Amino acid sequence: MLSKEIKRRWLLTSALFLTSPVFAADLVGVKLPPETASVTLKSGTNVGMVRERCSECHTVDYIVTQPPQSRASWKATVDKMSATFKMPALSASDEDAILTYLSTYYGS
Amino acid sequence: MTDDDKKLDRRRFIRNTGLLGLTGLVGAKIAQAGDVAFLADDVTYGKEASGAIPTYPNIEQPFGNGTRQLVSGYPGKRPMIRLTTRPPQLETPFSAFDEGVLTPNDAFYVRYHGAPFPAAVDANAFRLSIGGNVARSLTLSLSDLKTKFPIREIVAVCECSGNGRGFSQPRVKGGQYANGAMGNARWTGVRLKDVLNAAGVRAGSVQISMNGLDAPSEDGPDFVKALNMTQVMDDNEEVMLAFQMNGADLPLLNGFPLRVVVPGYYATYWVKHINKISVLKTPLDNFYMSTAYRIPDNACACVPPGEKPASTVPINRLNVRSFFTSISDGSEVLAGYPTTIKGIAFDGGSGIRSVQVSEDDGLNWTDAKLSPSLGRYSFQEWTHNFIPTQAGQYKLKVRAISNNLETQPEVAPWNPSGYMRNVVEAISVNVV
Repeated sequence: MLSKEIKRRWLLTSALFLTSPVFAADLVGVKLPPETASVTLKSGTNVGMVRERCSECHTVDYIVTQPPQSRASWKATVDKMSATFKMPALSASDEDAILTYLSTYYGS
Repeated sequence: MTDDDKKLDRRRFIRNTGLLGLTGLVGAKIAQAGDVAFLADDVTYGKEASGAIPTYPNIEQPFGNGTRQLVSGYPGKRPMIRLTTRPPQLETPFSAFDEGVLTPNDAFYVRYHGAPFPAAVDANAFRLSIGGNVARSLTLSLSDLKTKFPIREIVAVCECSGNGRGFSQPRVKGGQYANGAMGNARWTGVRLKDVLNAAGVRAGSVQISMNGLDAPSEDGPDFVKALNMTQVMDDNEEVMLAFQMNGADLPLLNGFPLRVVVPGYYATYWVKHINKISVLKTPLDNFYMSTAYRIPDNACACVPPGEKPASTVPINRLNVRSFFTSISDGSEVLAGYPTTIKGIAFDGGSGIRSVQVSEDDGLNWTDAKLSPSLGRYSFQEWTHNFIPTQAGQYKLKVRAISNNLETQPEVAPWNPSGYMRNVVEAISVNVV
């Protein structure tokens, strides 16, 4: 038979355990429909790298829905991704490859 | 593995374990100690368990590169036109605006700036904090807001700054919407002024900043907006904190459990999941006030196409607009029969004085009939009896005049961001 003190301590501990974050009200997060296969970057040289670098913060529909633009216009966008939105720095060759890809397949 | 690769991996790991330092997330259900959960991107935006991704019907917006998909499965939403997936940007299919002058909650458009949006909010644990240049900081629960302040209701249009941007000529960068990035709802909540008075705004306060639960991607700028104190404390402006929309809780994707409502102002100020308001002694200087959401500082908020404005101001009040809703470009009607054409009009809060329709490409105009008004900030429904006697193609136009005597331009003014589109709408109708 447990002493009153041990019982009291057990109740306190289990009460704390039951109200601890682990057992707090579970929030069920929503799931959103994922990007579909039909929203895809056009096939071309370096498309894999472009997708990799340009999918960190958003899906590629941000790119493919834009109106056709010049290389200079795409460069301004890429620069904004770095300067304002803190995209991880691109190497010079990666940036060149990305701009060539965008201005070839999404160019005006 | 290069150092850069390692950095990329580390960022991805941090991103994928969520912003509240919670690790080891499994599936969509988690336990957490706070009031909000950000889930790993790959969970919130993840594939179905089977790995199969459904296909959705395509729709074509009426401008170049306008292919979109009508996507089902967004919580609380009917099939919506998807502009972007992560973060979600969903446009209302335009036919929804003909269902009634209040836009159903399940059709209301959705727009986020950053991918980490609150995928779950515990309404009981949620708190709104009021701080800064106040006599006393406040931490208010939803129950506090619902019981300690007078409840207000207002019907008001929420229109995205870039609604219609896809129609810009020449084209501009940004979210390529048709005209479905807007909605009208009956908002229930409390007056922001009443809440600020409870905190006691100190002398020398010029603005409030408004920050919601949503968060930026990477180390990017958090979406925080400011309103001038004069506007917030003006009874006539009716700035509100709303917890209901059309008689129901806000959908999660429209700001559950609380959002800012700024009647007559563009939607960028209507901060969703608002949880932190600061009273400021100097104007807020951040990306989303100082660089983004700015319009040319002139009467038309416009510049010659391709040019940059000499000076800009923050976007503010809605301009006057009108639309056909019961009929669209390419519709067919019968000759010799009356067809009731229906539509909507709205402005930045003076209310709609009149709406006119032309059946001959703007040569002649007739006053439309205005339905009973739901208030000066609401969609104003109008009707027009169209009885064409001859078959053929008819160029219909609609224009609204506000009580402020503001009119719509025949030719769309241009600005580099594609904001504030309000050109006279024109459609071709086939009479058979």
